[in-house]
Amino acid sequence: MGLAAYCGKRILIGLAMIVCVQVIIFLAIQVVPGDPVEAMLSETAGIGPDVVAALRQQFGLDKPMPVRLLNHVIGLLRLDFGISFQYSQPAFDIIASRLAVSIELVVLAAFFGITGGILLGSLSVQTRWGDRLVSILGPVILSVPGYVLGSVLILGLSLSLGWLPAGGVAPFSDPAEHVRRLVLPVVTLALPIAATIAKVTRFEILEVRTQDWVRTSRAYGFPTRVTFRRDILRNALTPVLTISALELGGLIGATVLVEKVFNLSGLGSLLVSSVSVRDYPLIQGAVFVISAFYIAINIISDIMYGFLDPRVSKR
Amino acid sequence: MGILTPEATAIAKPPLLAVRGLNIAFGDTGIVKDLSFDIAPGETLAIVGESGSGKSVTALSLLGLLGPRARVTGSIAFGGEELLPYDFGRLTGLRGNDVSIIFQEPMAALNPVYKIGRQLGDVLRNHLKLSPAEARARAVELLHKVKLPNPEVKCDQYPFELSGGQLQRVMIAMAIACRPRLLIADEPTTALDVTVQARILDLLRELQAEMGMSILFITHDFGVVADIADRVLVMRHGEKIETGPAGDLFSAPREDYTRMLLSAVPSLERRDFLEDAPAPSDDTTVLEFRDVGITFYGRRGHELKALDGIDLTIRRNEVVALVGESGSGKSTLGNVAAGLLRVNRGQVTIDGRLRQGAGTGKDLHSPGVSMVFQDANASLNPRMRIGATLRAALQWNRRYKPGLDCSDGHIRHLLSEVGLAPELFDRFPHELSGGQKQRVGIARALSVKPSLVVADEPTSALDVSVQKTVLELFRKLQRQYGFACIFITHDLSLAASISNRVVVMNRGRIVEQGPAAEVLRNPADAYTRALLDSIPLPDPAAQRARRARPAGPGTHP
Amino acid sequence: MKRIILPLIAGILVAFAVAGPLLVPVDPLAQNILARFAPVGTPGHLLGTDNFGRDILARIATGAQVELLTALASTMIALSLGVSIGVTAAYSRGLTEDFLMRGIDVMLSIPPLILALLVVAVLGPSVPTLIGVLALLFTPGFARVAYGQTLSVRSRPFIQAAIIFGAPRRSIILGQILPNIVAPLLAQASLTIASAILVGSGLGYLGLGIRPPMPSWGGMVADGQRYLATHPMLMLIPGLFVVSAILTFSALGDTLRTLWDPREQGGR
Repeated sequence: MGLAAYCGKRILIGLAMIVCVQVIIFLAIQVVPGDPVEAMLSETAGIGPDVVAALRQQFGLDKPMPVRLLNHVIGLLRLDFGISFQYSQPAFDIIASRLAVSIELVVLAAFFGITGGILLGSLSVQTRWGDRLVSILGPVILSVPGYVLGSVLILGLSLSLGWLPAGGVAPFSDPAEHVRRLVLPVVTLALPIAATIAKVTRFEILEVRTQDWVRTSRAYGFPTRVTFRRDILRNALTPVLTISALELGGLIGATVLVEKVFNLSGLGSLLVSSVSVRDYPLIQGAVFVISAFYIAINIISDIMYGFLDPRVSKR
Repeated sequence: MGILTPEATAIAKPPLLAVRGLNIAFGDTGIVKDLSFDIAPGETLAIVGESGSGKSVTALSLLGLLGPRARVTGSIAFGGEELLPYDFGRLTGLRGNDVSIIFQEPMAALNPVYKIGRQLGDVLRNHLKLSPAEARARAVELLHKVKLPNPEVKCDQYPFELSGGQLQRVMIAMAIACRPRLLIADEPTTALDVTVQARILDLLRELQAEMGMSILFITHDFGVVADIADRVLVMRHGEKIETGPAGDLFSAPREDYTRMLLSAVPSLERRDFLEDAPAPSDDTTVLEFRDVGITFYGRRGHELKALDGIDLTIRRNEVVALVGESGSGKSTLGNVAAGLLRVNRGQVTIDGRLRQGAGTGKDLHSPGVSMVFQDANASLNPRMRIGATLRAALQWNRRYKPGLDCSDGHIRHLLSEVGLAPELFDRFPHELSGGQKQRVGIARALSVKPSLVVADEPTSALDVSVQKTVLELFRKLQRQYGFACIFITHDLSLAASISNRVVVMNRGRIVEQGPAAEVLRNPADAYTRALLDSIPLPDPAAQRARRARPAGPGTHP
Repeated sequence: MKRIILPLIAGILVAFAVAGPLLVPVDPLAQNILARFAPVGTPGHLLGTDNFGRDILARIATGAQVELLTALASTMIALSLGVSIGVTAAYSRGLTEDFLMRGIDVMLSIPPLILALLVVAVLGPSVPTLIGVLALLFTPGFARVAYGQTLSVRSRPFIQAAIIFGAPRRSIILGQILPNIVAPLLAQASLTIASAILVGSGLGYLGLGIRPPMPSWGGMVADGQRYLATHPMLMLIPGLFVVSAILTFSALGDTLRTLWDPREQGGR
């Protein structure tokens, strides 16, 4: 009975969290002095009060706050984020058109970063060069912000050597070029993830290695590689999983920067441009999608945690 | 000296294991020095020693389990084959196959993320060619053999779902899976309750008789030695002190150290009960429990009655020993008396003031109570010097007892009163030995002039030789100051030696109480009898005789 | 030994940046169209000039002060807020604990940089906003560490001893618990300064942190990127300083953490 109930509980908590986040964001925006219409029109002089009133009505800003909150939440549930001030189009459509690029980046970077990190972390406790790589180069990579790393990669690999294109997106219809253009942004995003995961994996392996059951495994004549896989790595992966989920939050943030560096029109760059002109429907919509994605990842990681560590779900 | 020791020549068969001139060092520190011993086929050799004697290191060295930092030299011959220097390829074939090992903490020794059946099956399949289904069938069979109830169900459970005793049975099943010729048992019963310990020892003996394996038994407890060993090797500081057949060693120890260890063994026969001590002359009631109950609620509606209808009165000058196994509620009771836990039911009165029960406030604290903890190290703030720790306790308590003296001079005097050098005033806890730390704990408990001291297994974490001196100190101070005392222990004979009254607890209830001598000599309750019968007698012959008797009706399920 | 060489060089660079204005008292905003794109090593412009002919060293130095000030200030705020929340939650248990720690969970369920963008969207970019945002971002981290540490210290017998000997709540928290959780918190603080520089300069890069013409390292990298093909130094120099500052504080944090660990083991 344990696992199903555990999963259900995690999912409910996640949904509650998404609603909480949305309400907080909505309320935060209410606190701002001046409403979005003013912000929107501030640069256009000479607009009459009647036009302002009409616009307010169009965006539903004339209703009292609780009504707007309710409308907002109902809208979210129908995936209706309202009309973008900037583009005068449904915010949902704009977000949907930008989503593919960002998702592709995040998924690829997470995959390469996490698998590479686990591999490097395992190698670092088994080989001398792996140890050096992780303990000396790791901290340096972690200290390079994505926008600097991206710029340096462009400078080296595309401007100086001309191996890879410096940015932009190629359509799926040209798969080779599509992949070529993705290499640098994905590497930029994946390197710090790999460094973090390698560091955590290494630390956990060193911790688990001192546990009594590892001694038992040796004492019962299991070959070294079986002991490592069955009794060390398997146990070390549980905390690595938790950190991986956290890292994805950072990854989503880093995507915003990397999209700017490589001139990719994804969700991140959309969010940044919306923030600078205070296009609230777009901001709220984008944050909704991002936080829902992030919370979903956390739910999945919690559930996997339940599978990996029986003590969590069965107790 | 020849290659064979006198004992070994007495045995006709060649030894299964012959260790000669074994030296083990970590860096420059020698842990084991020039150790030689034999184990004959089917024989049980017990290596006995206190912590730091090198007994466990010796056991681990036989299988090459000490890690790369250890330097092992000398000769270890198993079945005529030399194991030193280690050939790890060869050892892998030996480990878990011809030589098996079980450990002190069965919970830690099993991987928490795999089911019992899988772990047993893996061990079987590692050395024998078996299909997963065959391995599982064999695993169930093995669990049957070690008398684990419901083996089929247990196979699909995780280690954390089993008790310590059950897990040790699983470990034993693992150890005998490949019919080893030698079983190394590294303090396998130290972490278990006495009744469980007795049954595990019985199981080991039965399995040995059936399978004919030799056992190397590592322990610090001479009672266990008397119960299981054919021959004994006493170690101290990495060296052999003496060795000989168990019977001879118990009846005529040659070395002073052995005699000292033997005299520290719990024994109900020659113990000086406190019956000659003056009965409490003062009738002031210090602590009174009326129908006290605590229920803990678990996740899935589980209810655990940690305390259930406890009635207890303690007067001034009286030492009451609370005895029971883990989970009996004895520590819970101590924590209630110390004001650390809130009760669900009943009344607690301390020094004539109602502390818990209808109409009392949120504050549980009673200034008249102090406590000595089991883990002396953890009971001292690691960031505070000894003097500061003692002064803090005095200053906090001064809010209730303005007369307390907080001066440095008085604190140094307190230290000397518990037999510590006043210079320790400026030391940090980690610079002190275990015994010294517990003395600080006692000094702190007495510094606030308590009317009741709760002592929660104050000596169980100490080596036997240290235990004795700390207990003597405690007894002396109790007589001197006359405070009432709740002395919590799992050791019946210790309870007898220190208390005026013994209170036996089981599953949150008091099952029996009365003067120590009476309870221990004529136990009225079945549980008390089971508890008494489980204590191994420190005399191999007597223990053998007791084993031969059929188990009494009071034997605990 | 090898492990400290890089952080050491990085630390020296950071010190150099902070001390810069003392060495070269040049106005970081003074433009000079005639001296645009001066190379590194030009007399009077040690690190060269940018596309407006502004002295890069002076801009790095001013940027350093702002960058470090915001990072330090926000870390201090996050530290005190987070520790109050974490210790209170762990010590009081029950409803207070649930309320505080679920609140922290909600804050953690928004990816950090996104939360920062949101706040900047609401309040508009400025130095106080930046400090507030960063403090908000890092409070949950401190709360988690303080909470976990307090829980583990709280269950140790010396706290029970303090309760039994009549210690008031205040002195249990301040005198018994805090000294035992200070070391991991210090390590966390140092790592947080590094993260604050990372996020703060990232916001600067997006044009949402410190507003131009006030120099910021992130903003300088963004400007330099436009001349990446012809004058890569405009990007590389501020980039190097960002990396150095982050490396210095994260190395310091890691060192503090490893210093903490063995002592903890020795004490057991």
